[in-house]
Amino acid sequence: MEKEEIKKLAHDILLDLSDKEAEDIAAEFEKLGKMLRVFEEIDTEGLRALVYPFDNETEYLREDVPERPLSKDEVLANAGKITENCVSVPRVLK
Amino acid sequence: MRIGNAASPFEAYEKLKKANDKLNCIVTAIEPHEEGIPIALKDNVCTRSILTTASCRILDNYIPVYDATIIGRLKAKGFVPVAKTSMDELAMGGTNMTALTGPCHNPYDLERISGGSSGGSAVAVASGLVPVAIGTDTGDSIRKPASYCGVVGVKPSYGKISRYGIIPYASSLDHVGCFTTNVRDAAYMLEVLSGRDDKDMTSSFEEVPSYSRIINSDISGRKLLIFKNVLDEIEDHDVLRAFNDTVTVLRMKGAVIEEVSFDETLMKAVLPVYYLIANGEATANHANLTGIPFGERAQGKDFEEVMINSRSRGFSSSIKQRFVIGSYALYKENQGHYYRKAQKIRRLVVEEVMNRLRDADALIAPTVPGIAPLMKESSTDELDDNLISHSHLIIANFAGLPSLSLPMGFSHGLPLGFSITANPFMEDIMFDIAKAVEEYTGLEGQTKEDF
Repeated sequence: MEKEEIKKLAHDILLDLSDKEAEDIAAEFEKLGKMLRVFEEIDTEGLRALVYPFDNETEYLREDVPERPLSKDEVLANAGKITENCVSVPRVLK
Repeated sequence: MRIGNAASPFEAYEKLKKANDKLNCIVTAIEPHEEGIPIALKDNVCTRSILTTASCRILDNYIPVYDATIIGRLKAKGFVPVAKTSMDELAMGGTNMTALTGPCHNPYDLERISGGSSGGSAVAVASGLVPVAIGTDTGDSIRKPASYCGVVGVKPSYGKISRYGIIPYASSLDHVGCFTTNVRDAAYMLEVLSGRDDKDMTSSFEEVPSYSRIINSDISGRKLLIFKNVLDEIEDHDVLRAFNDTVTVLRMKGAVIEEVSFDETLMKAVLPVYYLIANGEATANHANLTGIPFGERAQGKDFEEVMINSRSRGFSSSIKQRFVIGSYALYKENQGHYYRKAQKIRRLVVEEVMNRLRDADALIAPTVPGIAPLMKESSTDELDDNLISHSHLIIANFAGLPSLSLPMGFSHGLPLGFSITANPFMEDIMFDIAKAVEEYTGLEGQTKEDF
């Protein structure tokens, strides 16, 4: 895979890469590609994906009872920049 | 050190701080304010008002405003957290060499790795600083460091211990577990930690037995399967001797033991399947690490640039690599070939193993093929270790099986581990077999206390 293609992939998940990082990822793709040849030997036609280990139901609908959520101060406690009750970011509309 | 005769949290806190100069096993020491049983927590366990970094630069200033569910369970039983421990960045690694605070040292030889990603927790227990520590295990991250550091490391069934408040790696594979110096303590910890939690949508409704009360080393009639593909690969004579001697004793104690070979092609696929699923899930899980609502924020001229700069500075190159590859596997046009294909092969691997394990009690093997490697000889690229003697541990994560490693002996003065994997929610049987091994080895409670 080309360096520029890898940088674009990274940009899609909001990452900038140095040239060295992009080269290393290209090398890793190559290593992985060789390893993935084994996939071609395995017939998975008609199989369902196994997403979680067990099929048993663990989700549920909770009773409609009020719970104490985090306070506004707690929610904002880790934000780098706050204006009044909001997390603030650089202006979008100039 | 055992839970029953542990030092006070105050003493443990002082010892940890002193020992850390040599071991580098902790990120944050937590000054205790009460008596109780000292415990160390991996630094991906959210602790209210206490720095929780998951060993990642973007979280280097993150102070949770809530506790993980397990913290409440631990405190209710008198445990007092005294440290947050070193780990591989975002738990993505097997050496503990990628920790933001630098590599963690093996107490048996400081030049060697602890193993990871829960290396700091393994070392804190192995060096007798605390009787118990919490770890997490997505592929082998409790059991591998347990083997390298000569302690008991347990990963229970999927869903057994709540993951609410644990900074994730890969949600379909992540498990919480613990390190102790002996099997009975591990059984007790599972009682303390396990149970349904409505805040974790994968939390199991299964009853939690009193493992430490019912534990029994009588294994007569128990059917154990030796993982032959693993044994076939191992060349280290000390590992083979320690394993085979243990098997001979288990047989003398009445266990029925046979060898089983699984399909080689499927076994070779375990690591790449894991790599695609784990990195795919990780990149999605960590899309929320933007530096905006929490975490280290970098400057930028607009909203998007702030996120790009925060993320590019906040993750190491190796994490970026994993995210890019994981994301590639998730692209709509690639999913069929990579991510979905991997999930389907995951099903085949699980069926291959369960077809035999269902009619038996446990699968056994050496945990890893040798002693802890030297730091200078260790690779942090997981793809460099595509050996079933390493990747067999991942199968328990694919299938959600309870699995542990406990000490089985030494080679050149360094610990070797014995792996036991049981059927889903059959932790009691796993502990019984482990107890029988421990009675033979006499390594119950062993630590390396020179620090």
